[in-house]
Amino acid sequence: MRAKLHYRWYTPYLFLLPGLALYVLWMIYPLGYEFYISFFDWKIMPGQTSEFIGWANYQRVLDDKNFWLALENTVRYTAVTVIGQMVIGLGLAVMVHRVFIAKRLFRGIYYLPVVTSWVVVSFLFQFIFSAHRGGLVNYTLIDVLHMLDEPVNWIGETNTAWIIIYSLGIWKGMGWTMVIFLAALQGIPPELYESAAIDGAGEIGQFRFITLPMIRRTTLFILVALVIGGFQVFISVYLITGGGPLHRTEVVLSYMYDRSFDRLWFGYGAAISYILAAIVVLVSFGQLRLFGQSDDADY
Amino acid sequence: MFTIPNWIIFGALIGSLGTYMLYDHKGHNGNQGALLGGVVGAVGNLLLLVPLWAYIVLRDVPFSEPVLAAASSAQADYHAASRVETARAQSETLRLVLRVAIYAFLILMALFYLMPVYTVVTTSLKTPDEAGQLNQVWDLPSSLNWQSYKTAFDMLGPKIRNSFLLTINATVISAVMGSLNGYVLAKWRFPGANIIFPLMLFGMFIPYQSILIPLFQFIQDINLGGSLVGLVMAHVIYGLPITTLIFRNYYTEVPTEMIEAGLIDGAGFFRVYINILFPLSLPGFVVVIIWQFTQIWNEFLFAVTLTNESSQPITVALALLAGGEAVKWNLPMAGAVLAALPTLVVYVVLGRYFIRGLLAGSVKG
Repeated sequence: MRAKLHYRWYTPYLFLLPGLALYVLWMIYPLGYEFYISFFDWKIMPGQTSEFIGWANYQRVLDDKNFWLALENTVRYTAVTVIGQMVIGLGLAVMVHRVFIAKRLFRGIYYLPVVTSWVVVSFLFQFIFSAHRGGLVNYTLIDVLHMLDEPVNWIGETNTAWIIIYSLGIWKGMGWTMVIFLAALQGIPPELYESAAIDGAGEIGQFRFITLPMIRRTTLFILVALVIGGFQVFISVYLITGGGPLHRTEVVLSYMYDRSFDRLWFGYGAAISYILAAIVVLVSFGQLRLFGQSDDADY
Repeated sequence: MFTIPNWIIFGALIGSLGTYMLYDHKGHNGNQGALLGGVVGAVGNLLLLVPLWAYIVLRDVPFSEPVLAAASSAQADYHAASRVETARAQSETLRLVLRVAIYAFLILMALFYLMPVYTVVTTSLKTPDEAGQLNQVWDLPSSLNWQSYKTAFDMLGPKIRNSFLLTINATVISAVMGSLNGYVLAKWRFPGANIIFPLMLFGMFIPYQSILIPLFQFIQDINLGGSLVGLVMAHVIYGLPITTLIFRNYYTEVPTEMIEAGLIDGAGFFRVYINILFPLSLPGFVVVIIWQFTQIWNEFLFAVTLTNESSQPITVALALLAGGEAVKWNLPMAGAVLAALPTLVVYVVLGRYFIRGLLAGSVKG
């Protein structure tokens, strides 16, 4: 039985009001307003009139070669870093899970980059990969390992710039993946492994037939979260290459930022961010469908 | 954190670092580095050896896992028992080898992983000349030069102050609001509740660059452009979905009987919150505050868009500092350490709650 509280019907709403009002005003309203802006040749300066141009912004974005390149780069970044983070994260989690000494120390070390700002770590990787001969990576490759003769201009070349950005993405994110996987591994009942051992399953068999199925839900959750994060990559690209040379390392968000806040093409930028949002929602939705299906199949 | 096993690993890490330094500086003229390396190595190895000795002598922690104890229950037939025996015999050696390999690998990975941290700290302590030297990135500073930190602090001091103002205000406001929302949504049924909660959760999935441009314009329109207040508000609202979710999940665990008892005693809507739920909320607040603190401190995109030079937080200032093609990295590196320190301190001191908050929120950081 639930005791009845005599409160006026509007009391709960009164409680929610401050948060909800701000939330709608600062989050839902701008979201709609962004959609509105994307149909205009938007002028931010007071006194200038914005011209309604219908779907023209979207049309222009879809005809923009740089946008497609940025999208391709974003998809590639997402694929590489999501796979890298998940494989390395799971590998580390399995190992740390088996360790009895210093489990938390290892977990702590791998988690450090996660709590550090993207700005700081981007900065750090710029330093490590600096172009001159004394840069850490160049120096190590040339003078310590004797693998190269000439210093590499890591940031200046498209392909090598991606190496920096990919490795930063994996380095920064795998601690998070590891911690979540570790929590999932700790939730698997040990009896399962015991009975599998009795049935003669080896290490690999146990991993394949017990560990992997048992962490399936977690794996899918991590996948969805990482893919959403991957599509929104911005700071590392913006700070390390700035999208250059010639927009060749641009990702969708850095390109959106460049068009909006450097060129002041706000309508154009709004169209880009709506297209990106639509892609992210579609991809997440597809993955969540996967979630639901696997639940039905398993239980 | 500071258990004997942790010290052993820690000691091994420090010890190998020290040994490396000693080796590295053998041929150089700077004896100070070699001396330092020797001392660090000795201390590290002491840290390693003493606990190891204690460990072996005391043996208070079983070194091997309790292997398959459950399998030899009364029900287990002869067949299963014999298989367990063979499995155990085979796996004893295998396990040992495997375990050593795992430790070796994890320690190596950790060293590799921490390499960037090593270079930041050493570079920030070098003199500008030394930091600009080619071929010395791996070396330790010949003497500890704290000047870069002093200069960086003089330059970045106001930005650090901005960051603290921003982070503390936004964290506290979003935590309190999240707590109120969480209370209402967890404990009361009212028309519209099942619309409002999903609406709030929806906010967690909005790619926040999608609201950047209108938010920028909106903040300009209400004359908060370039001020810290606008940025604080943006962070409060952007953090609201996650704080609401964490508090809602937290308050759902509070038994409804407690609330009913309060109601019978004549407490009203607000009194129930203040007298019953709020006093229980400390762990929830800790989780939310740690989460929000790190998120807001580290955030960049809102900050760079919504502030101007006098109100910008440290992340933006640092990014601008990095903009120039610096060769003498000692100063920027000192700035990076200053920018990273607060979240690292929070994390090291309150790490346990951190992981818990992470799992409670289950949201990417």
